Amino acid sequence: MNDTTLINTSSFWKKLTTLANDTDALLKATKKRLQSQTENSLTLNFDQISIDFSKQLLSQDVAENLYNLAKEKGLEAKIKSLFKASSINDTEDRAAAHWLLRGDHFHEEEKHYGSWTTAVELSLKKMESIINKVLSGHWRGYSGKSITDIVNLGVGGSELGPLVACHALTDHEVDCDNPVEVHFASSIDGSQLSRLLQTLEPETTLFLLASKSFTTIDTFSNAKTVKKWMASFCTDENLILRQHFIGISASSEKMMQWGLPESNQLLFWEWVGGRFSLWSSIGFPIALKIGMSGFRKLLDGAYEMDKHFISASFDTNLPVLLGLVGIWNVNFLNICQHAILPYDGRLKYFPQYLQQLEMESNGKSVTHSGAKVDYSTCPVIWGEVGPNAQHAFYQLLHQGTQKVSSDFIAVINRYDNVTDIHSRNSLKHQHILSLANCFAQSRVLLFGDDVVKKNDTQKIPAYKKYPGGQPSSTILLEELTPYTLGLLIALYEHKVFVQSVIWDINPFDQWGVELGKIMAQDTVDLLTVNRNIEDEQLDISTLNLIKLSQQQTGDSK
Amino acid sequence: MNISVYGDNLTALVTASCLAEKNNVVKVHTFDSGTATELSKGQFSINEPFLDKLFTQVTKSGNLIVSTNLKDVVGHGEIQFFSLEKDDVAQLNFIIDEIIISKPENLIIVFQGFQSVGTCDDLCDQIQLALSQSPDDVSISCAVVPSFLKEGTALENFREPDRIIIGCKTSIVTEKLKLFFNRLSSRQQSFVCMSPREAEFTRVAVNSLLAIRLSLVNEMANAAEQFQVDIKSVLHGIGQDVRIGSHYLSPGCGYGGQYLESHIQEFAHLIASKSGDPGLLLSALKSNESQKEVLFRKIWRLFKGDLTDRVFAFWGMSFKPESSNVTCAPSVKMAQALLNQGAILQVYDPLSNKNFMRELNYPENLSCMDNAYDAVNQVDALIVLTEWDEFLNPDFKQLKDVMKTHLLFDGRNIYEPEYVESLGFSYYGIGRGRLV
Repeated sequence: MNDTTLINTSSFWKKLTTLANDTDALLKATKKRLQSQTENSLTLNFDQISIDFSKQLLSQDVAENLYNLAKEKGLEAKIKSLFKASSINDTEDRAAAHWLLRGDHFHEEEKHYGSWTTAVELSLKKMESIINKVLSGHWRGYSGKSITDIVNLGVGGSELGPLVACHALTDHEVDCDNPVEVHFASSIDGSQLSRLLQTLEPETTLFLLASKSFTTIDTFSNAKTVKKWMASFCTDENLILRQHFIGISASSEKMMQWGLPESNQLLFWEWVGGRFSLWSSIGFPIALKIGMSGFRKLLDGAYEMDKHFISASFDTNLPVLLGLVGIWNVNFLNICQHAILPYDGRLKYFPQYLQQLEMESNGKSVTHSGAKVDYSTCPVIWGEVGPNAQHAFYQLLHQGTQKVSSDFIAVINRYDNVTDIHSRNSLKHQHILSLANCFAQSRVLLFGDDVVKKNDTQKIPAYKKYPGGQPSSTILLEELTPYTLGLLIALYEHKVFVQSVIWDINPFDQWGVELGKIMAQDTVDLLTVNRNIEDEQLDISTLNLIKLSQQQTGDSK
Repeated sequence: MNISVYGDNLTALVTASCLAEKNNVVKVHTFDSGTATELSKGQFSINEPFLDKLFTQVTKSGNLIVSTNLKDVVGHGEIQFFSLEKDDVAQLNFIIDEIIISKPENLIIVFQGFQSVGTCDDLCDQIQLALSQSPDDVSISCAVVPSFLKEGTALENFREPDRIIIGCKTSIVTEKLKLFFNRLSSRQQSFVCMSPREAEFTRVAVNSLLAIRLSLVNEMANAAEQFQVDIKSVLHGIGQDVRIGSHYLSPGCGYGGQYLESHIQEFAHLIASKSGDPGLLLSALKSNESQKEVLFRKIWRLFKGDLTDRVFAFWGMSFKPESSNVTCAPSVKMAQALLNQGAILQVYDPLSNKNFMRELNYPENLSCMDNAYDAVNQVDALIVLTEWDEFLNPDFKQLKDVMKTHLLFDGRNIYEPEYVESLGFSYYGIGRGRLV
């Protein structure tokens, strides 16, 4: 295939389209496979993670054609080029080498990238020294007291990764002399920040300014408010900058301009995409929670998944399989919604994290050569902690009109370390309840009424019927640790890459978010500067909204 | 009378020495043969005024024998004092087992108070059960006589106690113990009798109350500063109130020592174990931890948060005068805080230089000096952390000559602000109305 040919002209694509024609037959065959086979060949393991793909509407024939499709798109070579740090992000002429943050895949033969590896190690060391200073109580606020609270001011990739990990790893908090509370504030309207400023003590609060470009308006509008808040308590601006702000960015120059001394700058690099940056110094809040050794274990887990992704054959390669199953659902079964359903409250923010990772990466419609695609790309990703979502949107999954595929995610072992025996036993039982719900829901989603005996279903009314047929994968982690979380997140990162290769799109840029930002800046001027908006070239809807807002603000003055 | 004492800590050695001094024949048991050898040679790791002298004297007279032979010590004393540390549970059980095997006749066991509430009763039950299964007619009784020794004045505290608390269930034993203690002193002793549990509870409660009082006084001092009020005048006024009294009303840069903190923690744990909320105790502890850095914060603010290569002198590192003990002392926290900011320390303490270095693990930028004036040579500030007598009236002229900056941080309020200021020093104490 040459570069401009779209993938849907491939013979394997056409074959897959034919295989997907009769979904009823596929469902029937799937159910039969699940009920007649004694061995489940569609559950695959790697390290402490296993994925059961058997509730997907798959057959051997489908799998073979998906592998062939991947081969035709040169997936193997593309994976190699990803890990060679070539400029795979072609619209920005950059490598996407976030994997380098968790371990060096270049080894001996690629010595010219040694400087990157050294930079990563130096950055980790600097991060470690600051973390140790904070957690031992020797990072002081302006009054000389130890820091008690850290607020991460960052949005998107500068928030979601740390947020998901900090929440997921609460059982692994580091034992230290001076534990700190970690808070997150991202929203441009200051909602989170205003609440925090009411409760935090300025003299013991340290703010992290996390922004790759160090210009993100959301983050810096919050930072500006914080700076003013601080100034009302301590007038020594240099002291405030030195003791109450740490910058995390790819631009040392911009951090310097903002007034941050070199000692308070943590760098990462252009070749780390925002949504892939939790492995860099953006992960600072994570290391504060679980300590630097915990953070390194998170990196280790991801590094192991990298090695698996590079070396395993397609039919045993978890990220490849997760990606190809997604392609099958989206492009052939026309299931364009994908739900992420963790059955563990600690993974509360994981669906939100994947929304960014998948939709910002693959929510695109132009191929590498600039051609418009005429097939679906990234599905709509959404989700919630499973047992809670059962009381919300599962109704739609079971009896609605939308086709939705799902990833169920569960942790097998939990609560072994609870010291109080009474609550431990009870909590362990709660955990079993959660697992039971997880396994039951995926079963009902696929089998529908078939999960109960035939004679029991004969007389039930239509509104009580379950059609089934919603496919899902179930991902099981042995336990939730920094290491397994590293495995899990890297699994999805690589899944996204696999799908981008099939769809022939660039997963590492995000041009779609730019125009809105520019228009917002123009609109700020219209809202704040007293200008005659009638002269502006605006549509009637926007014009009216601005007028209404101006009237209301005028009234309140 | 023959007496046995178990343990090699301050309480054990003071008890043994003072009892031997009164012509009792005392055998002290320790499990550590190294310590036994050292003690027999008169070598002391505990610095307690006059204790080494007394110990050597009574050893020479033959009234005090240090032994590692448990059987021998168990068979020796009519009254046997247990002065083990709280975490010596294995040793305690070992001794009790030996007592049960040896069954010394008419023995009185006295727990001096390392144990938690209920330990005496439990052990007593254990012993009685063992005896009931034995054909011999042996009586062993247990009592709790908590030790309230203060480091630096321990001998005096033992010889002339405010009161002696006897926690015992048997009145005959209580009377025997009263007679025994009365024979030790020429004056009439004051006894308070109660149950063993009550005595155990009293022991931890006393230090907790003192700690809370001190923490509150420190907080008052910090507040006084904000209002440019000298806390010394205020506390003088408060102390005259008979309901309050003037003891333990001196604010400072935090209290330390092995026992005060561990007793509060123990008491807090006791309360928490019965589902209570030890909030006040924990607050007192937290407040004290913060107080240990009160001078650091003043220094930090004065130097605008940049202490790199600044040189500071410490006068006094032991947690109190006349002691070499630096356990939980404010000096340790102060040194860690300053060294971590890149400061350089020159320190001097009459007794604790070695212990201090060991406690801090021999850091690079810390030098121990042989005398007070060497320590202040070319320093940016002098920080007084322990109120040793030799620091009370220093040669201020010499200080002015050798210090680089005439900055005085007085963590024990031993100087009068107006006076030292008139000599050209900048002075910052605890609650003396001088705000940084």
